Amino acid sequence: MDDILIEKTLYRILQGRLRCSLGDPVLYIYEPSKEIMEESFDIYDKSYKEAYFKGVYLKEELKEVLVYNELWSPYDDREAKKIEEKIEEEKLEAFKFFYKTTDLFRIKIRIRGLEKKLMKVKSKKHTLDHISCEGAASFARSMWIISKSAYLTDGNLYDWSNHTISSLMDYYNSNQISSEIFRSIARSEPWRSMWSIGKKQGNAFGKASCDMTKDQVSLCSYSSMYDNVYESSESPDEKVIEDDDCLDGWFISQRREYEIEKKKRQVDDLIKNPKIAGSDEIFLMAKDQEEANKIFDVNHPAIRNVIRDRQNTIENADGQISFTELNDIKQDIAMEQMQSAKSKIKGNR
Amino acid sequence: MARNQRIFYACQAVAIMGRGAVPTAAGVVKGLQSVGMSSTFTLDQVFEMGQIEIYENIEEVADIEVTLEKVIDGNKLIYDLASGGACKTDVVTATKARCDVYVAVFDDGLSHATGVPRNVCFNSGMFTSSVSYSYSVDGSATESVTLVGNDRFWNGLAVTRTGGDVPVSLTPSGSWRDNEGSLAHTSISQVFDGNHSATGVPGSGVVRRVNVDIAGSTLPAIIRSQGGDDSSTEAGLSSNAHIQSISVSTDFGQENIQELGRFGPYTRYATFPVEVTCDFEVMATSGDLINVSGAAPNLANNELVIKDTAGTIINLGTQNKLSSVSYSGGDTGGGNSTVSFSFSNFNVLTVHGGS
Repeated sequence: MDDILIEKTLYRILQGRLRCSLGDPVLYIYEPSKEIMEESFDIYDKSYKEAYFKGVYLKEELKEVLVYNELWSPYDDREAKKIEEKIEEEKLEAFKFFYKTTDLFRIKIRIRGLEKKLMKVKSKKHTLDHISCEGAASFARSMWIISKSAYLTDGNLYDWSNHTISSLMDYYNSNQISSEIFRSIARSEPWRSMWSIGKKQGNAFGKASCDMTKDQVSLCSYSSMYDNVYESSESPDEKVIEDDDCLDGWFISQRREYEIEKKKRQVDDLIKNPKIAGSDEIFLMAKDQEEANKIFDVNHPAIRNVIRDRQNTIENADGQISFTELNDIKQDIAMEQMQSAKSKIKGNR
Repeated sequence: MARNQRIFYACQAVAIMGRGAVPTAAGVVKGLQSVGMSSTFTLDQVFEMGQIEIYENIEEVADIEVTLEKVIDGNKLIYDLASGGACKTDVVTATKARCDVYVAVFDDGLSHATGVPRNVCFNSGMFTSSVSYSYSVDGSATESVTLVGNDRFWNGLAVTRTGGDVPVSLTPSGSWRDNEGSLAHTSISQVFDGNHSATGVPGSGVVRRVNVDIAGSTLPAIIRSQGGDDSSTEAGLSSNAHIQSISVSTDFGQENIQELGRFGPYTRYATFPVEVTCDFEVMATSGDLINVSGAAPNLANNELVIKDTAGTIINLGTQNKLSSVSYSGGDTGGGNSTVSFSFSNFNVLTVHGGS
């Protein structure tokens, strides 16, 4: 990423304002203060009520319209979830294949494609948001916030003689800082040094967290995230940290490992009886399928496959089978045979 | 065989029936907490002179084990179900009694509105191998029983249903029955229809510390020696004995007896004499108060009967002798001092309770 862009954006965040040079005069759009934010909700409520009494649809009611006009269906939500899962898997792959440049390149292309698809699927649900009470109220609130946050360079509130509020709002929205840029700033200089020193002094921005702008809060969050990565005992390579997709993959891999360990601990706490805890198969009582699913979730994914394989084997055997005919037991017996044979041969030497 | 990773099943119900009996609601274990199942395969390798490859790898009969733990709650005890009531009269008869254990498991990945289990694991011709009872100041009183045998069979209940989703009676068949002979005509019926889940109503309530009837129990005098001086109203059933935990346990062994011409064992036997131990942990108000003399015998026989308000009576007979005493705790970390007394007898354990 361009160093100039990183530094420019950093100072925008530090200043808590966006310099807007659409023409004469140059304006600053400041991040809204707590007072403005508080008052903006009055505008929201007022606009919401007005829209509601004019017979504008509620967001919930628009779902029916979306489905009827084939603009969105609950299937799209499921599709979005599936894409998110795919992205997660791809990011994990990216982390695993970090050193295989060609593979990594292909994975990244797939991730970008999936992200575009995800955005498209997710946006379907919001196609008619602007004609809902909530949409109209949010728009009115945003306009009001912009009208109260645009200042001239001399510090005076702008009188909207040359620019319209909507043109400024478009400019503001199109200049939102992406997570990619936040992450680049958070892990590079000059911010990294500012952050380290700021932490020692108490606060990098020299103000309470409730007084920070949302961009400043985001930057602090990302910086803390990178601190945790650097301080981790299993911290990945510096090059991995610099690659957002690969680092996300590292997070996913860490999270999954942690979840497996957590489940193990939960189960160990559940079973006090050492004989049962040491058994090959443990049966925990469940009163319904929901509880049963939670218990099955405790199993390692490989063990889940064993359970499913057992279920299929039993069904395919006309519903009756000796336990020694189950595939995993057969494998265990074969392994035991091999081990016994090995130790016997070694013992005979 | 110890697996690298254990399999966790969601269990719907467990029924213990006399050998060959059709499962009924009366056999469903109430208050069951968890079940563990293991199997051990023994393999014998035969090699041949002049050949590096194995000549034959011979499989011996597999041993299977099922351990069940339930809270003591006034419902039938596992030992009672497994021994067909023989545990109330005689330990020898109880070790000879055989039973069938049915473990019904839920489906993994699907949702049944009725909660009908998908599979039932049928452990046939099981002998009671070990029994233990535990009462402690924390948590519920529990019973743990281990059953051993040689035959395990899985029935797919999900594939055999009537139109109303009711499990059809299934009679296992195949070579696995050979060892069980004519008694292996057990079938799986409607007992696992989703109405006998673990959420039953406790017979008399789960036994907690307040339900242990120390006042009504017969305990050696030394156990009561650490007692306090609260009035009987204040002390309740505790009898001021300051007992922290009681645990009774025994292991019957249950060895296979083979005969020529048969693959499986024709029976199992308990390795008598079996030792029955009873351990007490008592909060110390003085030393362990045990005098030991090198000039004469120190120990006397003690009667031991432990009772709770759920109707459980664990009778260890009259010939229990103190086998060990230990005094621990009271360290600089602020821990309390406790005295642990261990008593033991041989071949005497009867258990009443539950209905």
